[in-house]
Amino acid sequence: MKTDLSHAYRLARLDLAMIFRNRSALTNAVLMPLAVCAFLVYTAKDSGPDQVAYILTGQIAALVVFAPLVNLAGFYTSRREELVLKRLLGGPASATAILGGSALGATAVYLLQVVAVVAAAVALGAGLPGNPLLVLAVVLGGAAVFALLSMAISGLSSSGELAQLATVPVMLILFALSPVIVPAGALPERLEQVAGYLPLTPVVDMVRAGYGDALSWQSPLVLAVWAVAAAVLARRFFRWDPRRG
Amino acid sequence: MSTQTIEVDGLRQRYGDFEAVRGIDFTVPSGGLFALLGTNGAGKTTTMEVLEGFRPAASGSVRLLGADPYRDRKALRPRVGIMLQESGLIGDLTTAETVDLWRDLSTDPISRAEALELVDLGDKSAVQVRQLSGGQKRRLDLALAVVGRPEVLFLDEPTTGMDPEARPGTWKLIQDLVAGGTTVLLTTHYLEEAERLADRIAIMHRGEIRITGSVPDVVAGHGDRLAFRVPAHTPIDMLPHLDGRAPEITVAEGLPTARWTVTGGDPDGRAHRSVAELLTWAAGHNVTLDRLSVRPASLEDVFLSIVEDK
Repeated sequence: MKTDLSHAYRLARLDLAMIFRNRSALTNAVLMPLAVCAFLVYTAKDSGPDQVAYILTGQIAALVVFAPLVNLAGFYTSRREELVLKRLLGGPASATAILGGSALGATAVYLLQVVAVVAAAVALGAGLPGNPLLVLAVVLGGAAVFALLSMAISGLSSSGELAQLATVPVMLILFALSPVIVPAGALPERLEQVAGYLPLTPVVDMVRAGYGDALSWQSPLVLAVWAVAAAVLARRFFRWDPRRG
Repeated sequence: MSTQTIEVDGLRQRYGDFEAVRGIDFTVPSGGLFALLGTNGAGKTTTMEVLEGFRPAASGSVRLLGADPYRDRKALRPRVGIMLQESGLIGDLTTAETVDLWRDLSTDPISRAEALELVDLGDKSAVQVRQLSGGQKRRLDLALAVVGRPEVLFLDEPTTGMDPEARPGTWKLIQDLVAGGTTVLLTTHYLEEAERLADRIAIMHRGEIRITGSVPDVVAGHGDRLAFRVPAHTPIDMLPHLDGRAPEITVAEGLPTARWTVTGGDPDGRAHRSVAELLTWAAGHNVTLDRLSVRPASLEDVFLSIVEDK
């Protein structure tokens, strides 16, 4: 008897093969986010090594918004509308394995991007994280939260394109308010308070803690609350049957 | 312990205000093939989806291999093969990759070559799924349903969209699976398919099973059909009543055809009596009984009488 884990692993392999076989999927899911990251590092270059390190560590966290949220929301939705998810559900794999498999694939893409950014950080003098296990844990935890949010967004969207479009305002708010590019202290006090409760903020803070910043007790707590909230939202809104017709 | 592989008792299912299934009962023994017939919206697919574990039964009891198909889905899944009404296959994969995926997900799968040969797609293994015809996709879907050697197979309109020449091969595959002990529940629009394959059938209409049994049982009691082509210049209103009924008139090629359903009297004698009455009438009115036909009711007659609420 095969387990959910072996099914999820097989389905993750399938998704990764699909991404690396399809040039536009490869560009959108893997290369474009890295290009954005490279652009931000380039613009920060003149502000000194501390700012470059700040951007790089911020990007390790911020990349969680791409594969596990934007791409995955579109992916779940288009597969659902094409009845692929339902066909898979009619096979030997469980719902957890099917959804988890795609989330695992998206997490693998995110991890690959993180490795690229960490390598860039080493090359640009920011060094390796002092606590790599913390960075790895928060990267995986952040991916799980955003994958669950992508399921909720998918359930509310009628096409893959609309699902990806629906993630854009989420992405813009997160990038503007969470301390990815702009430090939290630069925001007005009220906005800074709101930003502290956004799901990306604890991911950014804990990645930087892995690179030596102080770890606030609030960060893991906020991420855990988001994990529960995202799971509830995914359960409430995700659907297996197409929205069409 | 029950010998029934599928047991449905008082199943009801509702979508908002619409009651799709209104308290149906049937059983399918191990190794049996049961066909659910009905028009679109009759409740066949909803019934299948409850049995497949996609949704819980709103009320009533449903058992598959002695377990609840929704609650015990995890345990039942490896023992069940499902072919949905519409294929949802990944277009970028080849036929072989699609079968390999299903094989990798299954515990004790048949080989890829065997799966593709079963559905006559052995020469399409390198073809991308998106390039297959609709009928070929249906056959691939059937291969996926059987790749895990299921004990129970759900086939929702398995030959819809297939080329007519592909259907006999599919029927043969289904018959072989049943002969090997697989229990099959299928829905179909094709009455010929049900007649050929099923041990027992049920005709569903508006969420209810209107009639169930073997095909001979189902058509028994639905009378005999008499028909002849009415010659030109023969007034319709002078045609006789047979078994107390006026004829139904249909027009083909510009000429009316008169049809009677005779159900009265004992089954052995009623057609003889009505034919004798018709011959007497024809001789008395000097009418030629062009294309006279007398036959027992067919499954199609029964089906139409049910779905037309006659």
